[in-house]
Parts: sequence; structure tokens; C-alpha cells
Amino acid sequence: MKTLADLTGATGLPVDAHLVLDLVIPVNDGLQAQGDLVVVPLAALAGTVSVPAGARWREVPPEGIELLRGGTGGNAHTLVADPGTCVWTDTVADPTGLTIGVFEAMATAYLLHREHGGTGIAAGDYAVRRQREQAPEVRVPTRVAYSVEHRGTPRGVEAERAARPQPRVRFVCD
Amino acid sequence: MIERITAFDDATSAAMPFHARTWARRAHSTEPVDWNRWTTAVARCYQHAGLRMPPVIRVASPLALARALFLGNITEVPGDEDRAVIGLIERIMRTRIDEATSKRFAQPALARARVNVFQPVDAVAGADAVAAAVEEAVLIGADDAPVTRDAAERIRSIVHRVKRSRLPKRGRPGAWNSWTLHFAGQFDAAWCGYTSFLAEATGTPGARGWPRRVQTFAAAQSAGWWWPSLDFVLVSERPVVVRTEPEGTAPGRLHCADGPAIVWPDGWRLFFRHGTRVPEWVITNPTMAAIAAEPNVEVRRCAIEAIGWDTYIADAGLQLLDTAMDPGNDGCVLRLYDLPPDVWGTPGRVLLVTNGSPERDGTRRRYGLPVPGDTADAIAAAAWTYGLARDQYARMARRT
Repeated sequence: MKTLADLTGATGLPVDAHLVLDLVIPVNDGLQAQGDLVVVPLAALAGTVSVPAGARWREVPPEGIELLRGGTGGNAHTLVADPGTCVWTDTVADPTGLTIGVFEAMATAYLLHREHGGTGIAAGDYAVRRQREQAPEVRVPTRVAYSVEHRGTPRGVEAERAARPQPRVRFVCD
Repeated sequence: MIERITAFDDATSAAMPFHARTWARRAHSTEPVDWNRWTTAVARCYQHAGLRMPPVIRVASPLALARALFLGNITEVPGDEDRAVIGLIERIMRTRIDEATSKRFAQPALARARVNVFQPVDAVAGADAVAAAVEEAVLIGADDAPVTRDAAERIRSIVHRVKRSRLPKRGRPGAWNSWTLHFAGQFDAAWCGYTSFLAEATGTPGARGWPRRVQTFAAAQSAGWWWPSLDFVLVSERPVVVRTEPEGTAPGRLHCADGPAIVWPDGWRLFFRHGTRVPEWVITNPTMAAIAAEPNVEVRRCAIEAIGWDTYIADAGLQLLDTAMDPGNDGCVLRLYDLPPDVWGTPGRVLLVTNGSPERDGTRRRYGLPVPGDTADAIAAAAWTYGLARDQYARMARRT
């Protein structure tokens, strides 16, 4: 049983003053959304989301793990748990590309956000997904990392080189 | 024979996002240019190409660079250059480096570096946007700064001296594209970051050979656009203002909701919303009439976001298709609207959602989320945004 004040005290992460700090944060084991993130019980995504063998898991540290930072506001969604009770991996396979990671909570874990406050997540396995929207069909030419244009030698260079005596030594400049 | 690098070790792989952020910052840098370092590097590029470096002429912005060439009567045909040497330098620097890296690294390693270093920087650097903006403005040129006209005058006098009477006639203004024979300077940070990363992955980044050439070329690209020729090097200053989204794990895109996102010393400025270049009116005066008249769908979307989807939906009289209580979001309603094909270019719908948490003033922020045109109802639309089935979303326990 934790309040927002407990969580901000434990992690040092701030929340906005207008959010109720001393109310016990509800804990759920189902689908929960926090702004543009959603926490989904992993069983509900069986067959879609999987963690490959050899995935690297890390324990959620006392200050939490920043899952996603907002594009405009710049505030982060942070996964918070008591020491030694939760592990996280961002090595996931998801054909939709929406899943940013999976966590295993042995005890209640929390999702904390400056503007959204806190959400309690009961022990279990969960995937964290981002929200998507439809974009208009805009064709953006993809550029490649290697150069594609090899332009020619200017005519002026040929003319100047022809007129110039060929040097017998050259400088090493590499 | 040096062994080919087939994969990066853990520390090198882990450094990729840091590398991408560092080079994205360079793309957006407004620090004063280290001109000594730049000049040395460009001189070395010329030297590699077997040429002597000509005098440097500085201008204030990429547009000023293009205008100075135009006013200086420079006519070069890309692919059949007369005195522009970008092709030579490109071949001796870039192509040489590309060839060397593909010998030193296996393709999967290069692909990883492209995905994790080149692409994230390329996505935010704004190189294409700046070039497109120059292309739009170069033939208009209403008020060239005195420094631009001075640069053009210097170009004319240098070229006159070199060529005397054989000044070619400039082609039709509509076809004049000599300005495209430039290097993009700091806006080329993606390629420079990618090759610098590879050079560091060899363990000896400053060593002789191609890693040294990478350093040289990156230093030559550390100012603004530059246009190398046999007779002069025209180079632009860096911007004085660059505004981006906050940097997260990925580099920040160009963005400013209430002003220009890039400003050069001569006052030339560009506007961006979340990485998309938009006309000035989108930022300073987005109106329903202007949105209706805008042919570019991406610009239209940015303008709608600027005035807010709920305002747009009300003013445009979009047809309400479905409403539903938002599961887990007490008292809030999901509204699904039809988006006419002439708004999006293709049939679409938009879901108006309400934030799960109140703002400081007690109101709740509303967002319009475009969804596919075949979305059946409001709950299905909300489910789609998270890649969930309709009945899964319907069981949402809580939203904050």
C-alpha cells in the first residue's frame, strides 16, 4: 500500500502539486493506461509479444527505470519497484512494433509520471506498449548511409592538369 | 591482412545511442565555428584531391550561399561540372571511406551502425528540409543582405580574373541549380557520425588511412554548407538559433510551437513542428481557411495539431460516427469522427480522447488521434492505438 508521496520520497522523482499525494494508489492486475503508455498482462499478448532467449534483464533500481519520455512535455514514465522485486528487459519481439519492454514483478510495481501520477501494478508479467496513430500517406525518400552520387571530374581540372608539369614527388598526407 | 570486423562488442554497441545523440547535437549546433580547424580540414580535402585550396568567402546562411552563387553568375551543370569540385572531393573522401569501411566491416555490422547511428541522426538533422527550403527561396531573393551581395561581387571578380572572357551565360532561371553542388556541413552529421563510429570501433580512430580521412571530412563538415570550386570556397555560418524537442533516448527533432526552429545570422529562418518543416503561417497564424487551402497533407496535419483537434473538429463540422464511455477513464467519452478524404488524402477517421489526469486548472487535455478509415467504432479505434483487440481495450482497469 503506497501513496504518491511514498513513491516520490523513495525515488526522488517529482509529481505535480495538484495531484493527490496522500491517497493510496490503486493496484490492478489488468490492463492499465498512463497517457500514451499501456501496461498489458503478458498472457493477453501471448502469440504476439515474446521475449527471445538470451534477452538481457536488469533489476529495477531504487530510482526506477525511465521507460519513455514525452515528446513535447519532456516528462518520463518511470517504472518503480522495491529493491529486488522487479526485472525489466527491452529485448522483445512484437510484430506491431509497439512494445518497448517486458517486466516481471514479484511484488507490486508502480508506473510513475510527473503529470499523470502513479499506477499500481500487481505482481505478474506485463508488456509495456506505446500508443500509435495513423499518419497521412507521405512518401519520404529514404536516404542511404553510403554515398550514391559520384560526380565527375570538372573539365577545368583536366585543362589545368594538362598545362601543369607532372610533379615527381608528392606529399604523404594520410 | 587486418581481420574483418563482423560484430561490435557490448561496450561498442551500447555506445551507439550516445553516438547518435552527440552527432544530432552537432547537426543542431549554434556554437561559433572553429574556423582554423575547418580551414585546415578543407585544405586537406583539396590536397587529397590533388588541388590547391582557393580563397574562402563566407556567407551567413545556406540561402545566402545559393543567392551569392546566383548573383555571382555561377553556372554549373551537376554531372558536367566546369570548375565545381564537389565530385572530386566526394570521390576522394566519401567514396574512399565507403570502400574502406566495407572492406574492414562485414555487412551485418555496417547495417547495425546504419540503423543505430546513421538513421537516428538523419531523421532529426533536417538536411533535406534545409535544401528544400533553399530550393523554394533561391530564385525569389527579395532582400539579399549586404554581406551576400559582397560575396557575389567577390565571386564575380575572382571568376572574371580566372576566366576572362569565357563567362558562360546563365541558363533559364527555372533550371538554375548550381547551388546543389554543395556539401551540407553540420547537416551532414548522420554520415559523419556513422563513419566516426566505425572509425572508433576499429580501436584506433585517429590512425592513418581511412579513419584519419573520416576525421578530416567531419571537421570540413563542422561549419555550414560549403561550395568548393577551383576558384573559391563559399561557406555558410552556423545557425544562431536551433530549437528541438527534448532529447530522450533518441535525438530530439526540430520543433518550436511558437516561433522559428532555425534562425541564421542573416535572419533567414525555418519553422518546424515535431521534425516536419512547415510554412510560417502554421506556427504564427493557423486558420481554418489556410488549412483548407493547404495542398500538402503533412503541413495540413501540423496546422490542425497547432489549432488543436477538438477546435478543428468543431469548426470543420466533422461527422460524429460513434461515442462510447472510455473504459477505466471515469466519466470520459471517446468520440470517433469521419475525416473526409480531402483532409487526409485518403479516407480516415479521428478519435477524440480525453486525458486520464487533470491539468493544474482542473480541465482535462483532449487529443485527436487519427486512426485507419475502416475502424468500426470508438472502442475499436482506441484499442487499435495500442495494437489491442476491441474486447481487450473494453476491459481497461484504470487510466491515469
